[in-house]
Amino acid sequence: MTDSELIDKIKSGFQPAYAELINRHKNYAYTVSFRILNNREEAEEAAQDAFMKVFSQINTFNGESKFTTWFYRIVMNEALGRKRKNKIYTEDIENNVSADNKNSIENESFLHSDQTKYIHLALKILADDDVKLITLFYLKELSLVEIGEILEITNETAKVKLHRARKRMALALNTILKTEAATLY
Amino acid sequence: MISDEEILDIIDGEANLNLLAKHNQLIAVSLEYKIRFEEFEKMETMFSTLKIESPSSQFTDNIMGRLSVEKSPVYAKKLLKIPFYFLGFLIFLVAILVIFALKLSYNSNSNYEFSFGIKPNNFFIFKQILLIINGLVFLLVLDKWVIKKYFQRRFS
Repeated sequence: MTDSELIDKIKSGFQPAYAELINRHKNYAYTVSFRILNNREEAEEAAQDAFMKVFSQINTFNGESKFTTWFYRIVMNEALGRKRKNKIYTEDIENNVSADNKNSIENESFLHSDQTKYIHLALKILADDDVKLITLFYLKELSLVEIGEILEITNETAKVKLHRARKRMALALNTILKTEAATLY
Repeated sequence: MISDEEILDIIDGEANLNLLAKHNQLIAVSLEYKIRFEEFEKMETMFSTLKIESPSSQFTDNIMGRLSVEKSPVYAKKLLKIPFYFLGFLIFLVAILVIFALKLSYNSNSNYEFSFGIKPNNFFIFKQILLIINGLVFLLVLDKWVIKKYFQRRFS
């Protein structure tokens, strides 16, 4: 059954169809929230709130665009709203890296989790618009056209903004890794 | 020199042959370009290690639980229309009665007929039917808005 068919069932009052829709999209919703919030509990709450909002606004979805376009927009807004509300401020990179480095030495973290940690640190530094673009692009599920539709910008604007966001991301990661290396020595 | 945007195109596999040739040449001769390229490449490698996360096993159940507690707006929209239909019908009935009463008071001796053929001596039956229909609509509204809510609160 396609998303559109499920939505028609939900609109007609068949609530179990919504459980099916949730199961279909919960992983990506949670992943997007987690990459923005970097906290599992907050990400789960944000993703749940997003699904609640989707259900309450399901009658406004007219099916002209893909469901995922509309859905990801709600998830991103929910996660970013929660981030602003919780006042997750950007912190000094050196403090972040040295504190996390201390933890990683004590906990003997593996290379994979270190890389994830650096990405999350870099995402904390970036502006919200860059975070949206980076998060959606590296889901590896959406085309540039779809990303543009989600963010309500043209395809060309999405490409230009994405390039700039990835440049800033690369710069942030480079700074973090250099600081990490400096704290080790 | 190759711009940062072009480096990203190379990494994404969207570079044309000319750009690729230029890239291969620069990688071989320019240390600065090589470092710059590897910074972007490292970012791509790091992102490729990220996996799609999964929420807790109770995720869906939690949402469905919250939905069963909160009133569904899908249903709420349907319910909201009933009192308006009831009020509208009541207003219409009252208006008919008032018009009929006014006309009767001016023409008390006339054999008055409505355009749809109801005579005053049949009006009593007509009124009874309308009252029964009104009563049924009233009971329906009472059931949906008062009785059902009471039992939901009591037994939830």
